[in-house]
Amino acid sequence: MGATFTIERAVPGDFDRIYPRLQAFGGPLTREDWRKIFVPPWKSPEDFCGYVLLRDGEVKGYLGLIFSSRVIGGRIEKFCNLTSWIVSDDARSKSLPMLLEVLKLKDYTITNFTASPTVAVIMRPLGFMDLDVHQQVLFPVPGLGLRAWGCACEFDPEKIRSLLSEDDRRIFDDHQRLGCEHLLLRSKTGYAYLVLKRTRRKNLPFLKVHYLSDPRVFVECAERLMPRICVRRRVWGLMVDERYLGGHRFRAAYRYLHDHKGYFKPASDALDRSQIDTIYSELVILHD
Amino acid sequence: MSDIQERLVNCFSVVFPTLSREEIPHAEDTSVASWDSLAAVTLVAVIEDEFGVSIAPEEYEKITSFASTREFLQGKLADVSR
Repeated sequence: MGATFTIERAVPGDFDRIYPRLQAFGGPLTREDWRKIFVPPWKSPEDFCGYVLLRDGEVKGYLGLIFSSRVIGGRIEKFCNLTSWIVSDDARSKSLPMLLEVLKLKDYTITNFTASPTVAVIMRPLGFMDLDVHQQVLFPVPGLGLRAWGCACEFDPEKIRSLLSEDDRRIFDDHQRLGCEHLLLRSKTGYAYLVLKRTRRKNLPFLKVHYLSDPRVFVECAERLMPRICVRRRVWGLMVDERYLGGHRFRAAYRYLHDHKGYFKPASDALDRSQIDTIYSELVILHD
Repeated sequence: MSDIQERLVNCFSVVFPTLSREEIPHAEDTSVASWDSLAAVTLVAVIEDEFGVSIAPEEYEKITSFASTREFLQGKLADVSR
């Protein structure tokens, strides 16, 4: 008689029994790091955090889901970010059914920013679309900082919060316990609010943009303010995904091209690639 | 009917080359070690090519064994011919 597999919704209380399976990923993440994907610090539109694969009650696999909802283009959009998809060797035939459960979720744009090459092959026939994750890396170019007229940068978190729109303030509040940094670039025409995380490239500190409220203001001001930002934040530069920039190429930026891609399956035609960011994803919760 | 059986055996043999043609009709996802997620989507693609049908993601769940796939395919082909 064959083994009985079941797939159930996982809730935060399942963490202790799922964690041993997550340890198979290896890497530097601690138990408390992993716990964060079970309990995101923002209000989730769902009361579960993934799917757990069980065989006769024993945990054989897990597919984590990070849910969020936000206003984009005046509409409420719901997102589901895939994370931590792992199945034991003796249950590999049941890994795809876990993903198929996710596809049954209605009204969610599903994202995956960390697909392995194997997972990438699986995503395409299931209707996922590619997402370029090439970046531009801005450095503090001498001279450009002297011409920052009309642009200003706010570093103080409380001051930044006070200047944000209601929707941006919610993003600010949602990311207070995740080690994020916040910047507000201001020009005569508006502001660009940035949520960033520190990362390292060649062992040098950089800031990576995970949310950019207004690419137009960012394009207008970023290069000019880079010297100030890098000195104040003690970083070598700032990394921003090209798809946020509406085709703009900064003159003095280095293009950081990636072989891998992100993937998304939009809930509606209203969303385009430039609106798929990583702010409510595992990249902010789990990774630098 | 036997034509479907034969062509489906060919599809399975492409994706699971270690299975003999005698073993294939008894193949189930839980009994074939190499039946993982990649093999599952590859099998769907091979079946789509062979039979000229389109299989939607929500239908993947029906492809869990040779027998269930054959049953699903018979229904699918009957729908197409109507």
